[in-house]
Amino acid sequence: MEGFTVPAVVRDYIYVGSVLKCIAVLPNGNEIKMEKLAGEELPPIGEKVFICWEPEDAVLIHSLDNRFYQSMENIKLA
Amino acid sequence: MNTIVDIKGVNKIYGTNHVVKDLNLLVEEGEFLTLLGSSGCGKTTTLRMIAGFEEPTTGSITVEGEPIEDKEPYERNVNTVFQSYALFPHMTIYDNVAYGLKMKKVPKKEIKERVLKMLEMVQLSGFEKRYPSQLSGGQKQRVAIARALINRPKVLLLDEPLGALDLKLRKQMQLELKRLQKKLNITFIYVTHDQEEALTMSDRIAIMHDGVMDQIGSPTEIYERPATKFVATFIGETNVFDGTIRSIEGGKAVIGIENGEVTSSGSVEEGDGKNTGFAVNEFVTVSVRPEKMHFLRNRWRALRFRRLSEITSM
Repeated sequence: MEGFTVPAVVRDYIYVGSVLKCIAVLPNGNEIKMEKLAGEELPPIGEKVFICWEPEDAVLIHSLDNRFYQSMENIKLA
Repeated sequence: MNTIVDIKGVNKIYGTNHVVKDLNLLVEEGEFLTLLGSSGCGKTTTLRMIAGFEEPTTGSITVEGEPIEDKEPYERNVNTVFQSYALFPHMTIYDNVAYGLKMKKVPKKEIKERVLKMLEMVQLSGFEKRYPSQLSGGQKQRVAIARALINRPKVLLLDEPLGALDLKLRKQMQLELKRLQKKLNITFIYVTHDQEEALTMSDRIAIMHDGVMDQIGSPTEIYERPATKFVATFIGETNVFDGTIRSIEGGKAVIGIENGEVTSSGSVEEGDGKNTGFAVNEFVTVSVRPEKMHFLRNRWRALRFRRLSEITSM
């Protein structure tokens, strides 16, 4: 396995000069934003596609940051 | 590089409003550092504390190793450029730029030399006899910059200086400011809420959010490796998936997201999830930038990838 893919439907393209911003919709209704170079061959709006990415492009971030732990500490102290 | 500004444990509280929270920041000599964040995050207050227009509630600030709390703004070796230019409308451009040197009683001959040189540097030679009202916004801002730089401050503080300019002029001035900063090798501390401006100009960016510095790093580090969900979504666009870490092994984490699993590779360190690294069962966010996502129109090519079709059924 080299990466991950999700099925989606192309909803829209937004032209912003050198790039096209693409919005695709996952079956659960969530939107995926993509950026493609203008002139690149792209699937038409409404087409079912697969969207993929490589594991190294997925950045892991703490959901609960230090503010959360600090506020928990403050509650404990109070 | 030497540290020129050292901010240690600084807090600023107005009544019940804690505006800057335990800020620690080292600014290196000759660097272009940007304080970036949305309105009300504490970035301008931080700048004003360095300038001397506000006093920290607690904590200390030193410039070139010397505490500056007891010094008046004009005694500090820093100068400020404001968005509103703050030029003297009744003075010519020459007199505006010369003002600081006249106050310091610098000889007239030297003032003339330095003013003309500074106006040349900001590309306003020949504008000496004009008044601010006769200049465009971009030209006025250049005069304000010349006036601030002529005193040869060690640190120049810039509070959204390009905010009043139109987009084209702003982009042009961004490059000019960067050129000027490199040429003069003066430390710039720049405040903006414009992330593109910060990425274009800065050596390092400090992202502030709700009075706290979320992350500091080079534009590339901030963009490629955001430390918090706020940083990931504030700098550029991104796609986020919330989930829980199922396992961490060999620098790779497997994250369970809505009915599926993804792997995040690239030196994920195992720790307690609070002070060090990530922890199994920790709630996390996976961020994937829009330019890192690709279309696969051929179904057989999709087989190379682990499908997340379990996320949903189409």
